[in-house]
Amino acid sequence: MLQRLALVTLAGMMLAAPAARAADTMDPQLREKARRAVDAGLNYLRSQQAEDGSVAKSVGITALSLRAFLESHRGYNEGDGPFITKQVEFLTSKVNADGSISESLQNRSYNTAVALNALAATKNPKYDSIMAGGRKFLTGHQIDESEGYKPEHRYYGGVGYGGDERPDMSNLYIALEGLKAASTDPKDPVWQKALVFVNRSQNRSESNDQSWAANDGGFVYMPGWNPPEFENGTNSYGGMTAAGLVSLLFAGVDKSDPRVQAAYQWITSNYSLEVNPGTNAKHGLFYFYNAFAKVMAAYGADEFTDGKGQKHNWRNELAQKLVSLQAPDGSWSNPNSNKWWEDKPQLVTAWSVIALEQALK
Amino acid sequence: MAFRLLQVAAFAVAAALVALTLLHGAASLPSSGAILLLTAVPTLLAPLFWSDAGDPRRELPGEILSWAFVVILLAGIGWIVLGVRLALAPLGLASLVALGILVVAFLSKSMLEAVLQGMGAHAATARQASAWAVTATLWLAASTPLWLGPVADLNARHEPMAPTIILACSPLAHLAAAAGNDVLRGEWFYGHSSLGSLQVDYPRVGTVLVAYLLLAAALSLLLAAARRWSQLTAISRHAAK
Repeated sequence: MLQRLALVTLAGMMLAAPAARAADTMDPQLREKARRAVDAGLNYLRSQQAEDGSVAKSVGITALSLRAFLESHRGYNEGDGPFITKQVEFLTSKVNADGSISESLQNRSYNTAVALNALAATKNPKYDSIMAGGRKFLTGHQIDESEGYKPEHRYYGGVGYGGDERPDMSNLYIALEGLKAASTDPKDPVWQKALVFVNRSQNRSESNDQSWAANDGGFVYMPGWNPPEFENGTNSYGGMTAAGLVSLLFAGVDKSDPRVQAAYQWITSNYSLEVNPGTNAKHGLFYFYNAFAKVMAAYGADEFTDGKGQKHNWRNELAQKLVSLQAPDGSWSNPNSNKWWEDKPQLVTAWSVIALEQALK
Repeated sequence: MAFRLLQVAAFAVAAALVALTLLHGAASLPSSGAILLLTAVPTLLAPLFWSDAGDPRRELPGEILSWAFVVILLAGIGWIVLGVRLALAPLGLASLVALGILVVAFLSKSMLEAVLQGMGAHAATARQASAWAVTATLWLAASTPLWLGPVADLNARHEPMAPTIILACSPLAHLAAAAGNDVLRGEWFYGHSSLGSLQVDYPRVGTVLVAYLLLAAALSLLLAAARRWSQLTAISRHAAK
């Protein structure tokens, strides 16, 4: 009896721990608002599900939606009904012979990586073999000697959307997140190869062997190149710095490492939720919110001081921002940009819910 | 003479493009990218060399064979000399799509030639003009992701299918879909076309092949009608003299 009581008490303490942490760092009223926003976002996503369980007929968006449900404060799981199981079934129905999980040849890497995250969030060992296949696909898809690239090449270690095209920091971070969710061995060469590409995408000449590299510690989209939408040459910007920093952490680089410190310094110094930091543009803004929430949660700092000496509680501010941007139907979308699908409410809602869930952790 | 010079110049530019690409990144050129390059360049240039072609029933097999020879030659150079790897299934599919493009382009050129002749143009002039017109149309269609990209960008919010429709108009996209190459997200296109950052779907290869088949059938009928009209107008012009 005493043993059972002790177990129940221990379980209660474990369950209460994250709530107590969020309560410590987040305004209680705002926390309640953020939870309601998550609920409304999930309701919206549920309303968007097709008969086959998919959201927007896309593996990528369905996987993000599923993850949003499974990681929510509601604690949804496969036992909760078809609105979860049908999404899982849609994903598992799109497993290809090469291990990728995708409905099309495009975005195979991105789709597989986000599907791995979603399947991992089910915590159901039934999907272990699918995840092993996805892991094999992603590691095989990484650009290295098997594709004829030498370590000196600026593509080396990167991952692209999924065709044979150029890699970028954004897809690499998503792939690493998927590989981490799929319990990839930390000693697997994939992490070290990835770090070659990550290092070459950071504006830090001490660890970047590319001639264009500056020294502010932030990240660019891919070595020596940013999308023309930002009109910022090879300057660092928020979305990619969050992606780069979280990639360093996923790859096992210590928080005290100068690369991590430089990136953290950049992201906190240039902090803004109004534009994609480091640019004057609102392109990729919700991508930034999502990646920023993940990296701050992974880094483990609740408060920081920006470049102007102002203190910020990122959980409060990000939650406030996202709550203020939510549409009456519970969705989010970027009214200022259609780049990278940010005009698609299904995608942006899933990202925003996941970002809020990170803030609520 | 000017026409011949332009032909040679176009061929030289294309050959230089292929050679530079292969030499610059032969070892790291992905299979799908190599297939796209090897099939797209000869296909999009082929109509330029049809200025002397006449009856499609006699000339078409020869033109297709010459094109196939160029592709095999380029593939051979790339594969054996430079070590470019090519996956056979996508190469076969891309070749089928290329064949569809060539047949449609050749029939279009022959039809236009018949119409021009019917309008009284000299046979040689009609051939050259129709060859150039078809080449220009082909290149214009191939490059829709570049010059129609901004239109898709502006209308994507209200017309979500706009990027996909624009991409579906491009023979280059058809070849890319067959080769398995996401050409829009390649480094160059991603920097120069806004379609790469929008939601866009490549056309399905099966649909593309059926579309070319139907288009070829329709063009064959139109060509027969154009020839008949051309002959009748020639006869009536002759009688009027």
